[in-house]
Amino acid sequence: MKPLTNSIIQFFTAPSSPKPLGFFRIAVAAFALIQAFLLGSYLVELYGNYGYIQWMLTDAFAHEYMPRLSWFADKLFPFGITPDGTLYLLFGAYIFCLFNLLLGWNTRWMALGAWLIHLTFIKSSSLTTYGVEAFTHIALFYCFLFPTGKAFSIDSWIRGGTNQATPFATTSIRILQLHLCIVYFTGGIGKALGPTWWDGEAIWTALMQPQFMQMDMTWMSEYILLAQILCWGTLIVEIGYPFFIYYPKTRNLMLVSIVGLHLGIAIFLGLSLFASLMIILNISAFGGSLAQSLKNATIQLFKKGSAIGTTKALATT
Amino acid sequence: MKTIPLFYKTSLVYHRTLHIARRTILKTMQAIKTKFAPFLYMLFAIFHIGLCSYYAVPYLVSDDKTFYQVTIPNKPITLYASYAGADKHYGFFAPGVAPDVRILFEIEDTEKGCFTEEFALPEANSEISHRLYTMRSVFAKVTEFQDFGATSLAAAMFNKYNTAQQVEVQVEVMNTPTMKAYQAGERPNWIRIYESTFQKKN
Repeated sequence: MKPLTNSIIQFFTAPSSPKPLGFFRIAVAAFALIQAFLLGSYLVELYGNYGYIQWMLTDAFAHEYMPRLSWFADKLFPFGITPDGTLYLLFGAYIFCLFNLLLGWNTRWMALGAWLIHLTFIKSSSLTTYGVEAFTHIALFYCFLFPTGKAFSIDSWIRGGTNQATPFATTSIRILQLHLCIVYFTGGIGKALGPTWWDGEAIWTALMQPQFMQMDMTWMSEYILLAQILCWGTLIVEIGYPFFIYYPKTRNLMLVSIVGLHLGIAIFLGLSLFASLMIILNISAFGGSLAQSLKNATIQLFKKGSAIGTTKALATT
Repeated sequence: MKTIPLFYKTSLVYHRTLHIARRTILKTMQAIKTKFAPFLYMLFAIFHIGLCSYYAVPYLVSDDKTFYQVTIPNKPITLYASYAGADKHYGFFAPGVAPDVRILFEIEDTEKGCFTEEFALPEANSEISHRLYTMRSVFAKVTEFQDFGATSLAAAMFNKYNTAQQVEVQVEVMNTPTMKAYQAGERPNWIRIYESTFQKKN
């Protein structure tokens, strides 16, 4: 029993570099800024009190203790700020927090602000939010929870940070890794329970929908086996994720496969933001080993190249 | 023999005690920082991941996936899960891909006459479009929401066209043929699942 407990403690607390967390913070903040830029022009339509879905209706769907735009609007109305004004004010504050989170200035406070304002927005528009919002919310919460300001940030620069390895960095990365395992494993099992993921119809239906159609894919009806292989591949990658990603020999292959899956989603279904966020999460969680392998391969290639160069030079002399 | 004054002895004991106390506090603080805090954070990590699984796994076997909700009797934990995003489930495109949905407005306007408009923003980017798609999907899935949603959308249309007198909200789902049926010549078609008419009160 003791060796198992020790292994668990070691798994969670063996000190590691906070650099992956620094990358995670920068990537998530940059992603959220791009997303905010894309949504900014339709703010009132999507989130406004008199947008497509009025606050009265979205408030009915939200938990009583969840922050909502109507809360802030009620508080600011006596000061002459209209509901739309409140919306723009909060959006401005969100951009401010994200920008500072990107730079890593007062990281924890800025992450807290961005996370709570984002929560306010999604709880005020629960009928228009999709998967990407769920993961943005999770990622911003992790930016607040994890010591993401310990690397590549103004905070660490001010404190003369040395990117020292800490147990907190390891525990944080483990949270992200295990969460991703839950996401893919349950997502994969959920798909496997439906017959359309076995006969290939799931991919076909998705590609035929006007919402997701990026190019004419009607030719696929002639290649049923191809659709089936794509569906089975998705099931293998998603269900096998927790197993293959933790096995050192298959980790890089799984990481490349999952990134490939999300690139496919971006190209063929047009869900580019969702795909980029999932790629960011995967690279932050497991990219360290791939980066190390690439670094080693480059060094070896360089050494090999210089060795050949030296041999040639010696042969010439 | 030289005697040490009592006050000096007391002061020495006092400073020695202070020094030991300070060293003990510092050592304890250091121990908390290096041993207990990482251990507590690890326990928190296990709790958080356990909570994520608790919400995600039962969704797979639930019959009603639209109104799926896990209830935890402990209110602070439920709130924490909602705030932290641990209460999510990950059934994207599972168990199958939902059909596409479109919403049409048939508008009778005193100035523009009678015309039909689709609930879409063709000039908007794909992110906006995906959000509208989510809303249309809720329309198709949740029948209890349809009347409220239609009222809200009709209000938005009356807001957009000030001279409109009547708005009919129509919801249609796309029927995609299977690959074999498509090969046999069948093509996707729209099936109406909901319609409701709203008139402006003068």
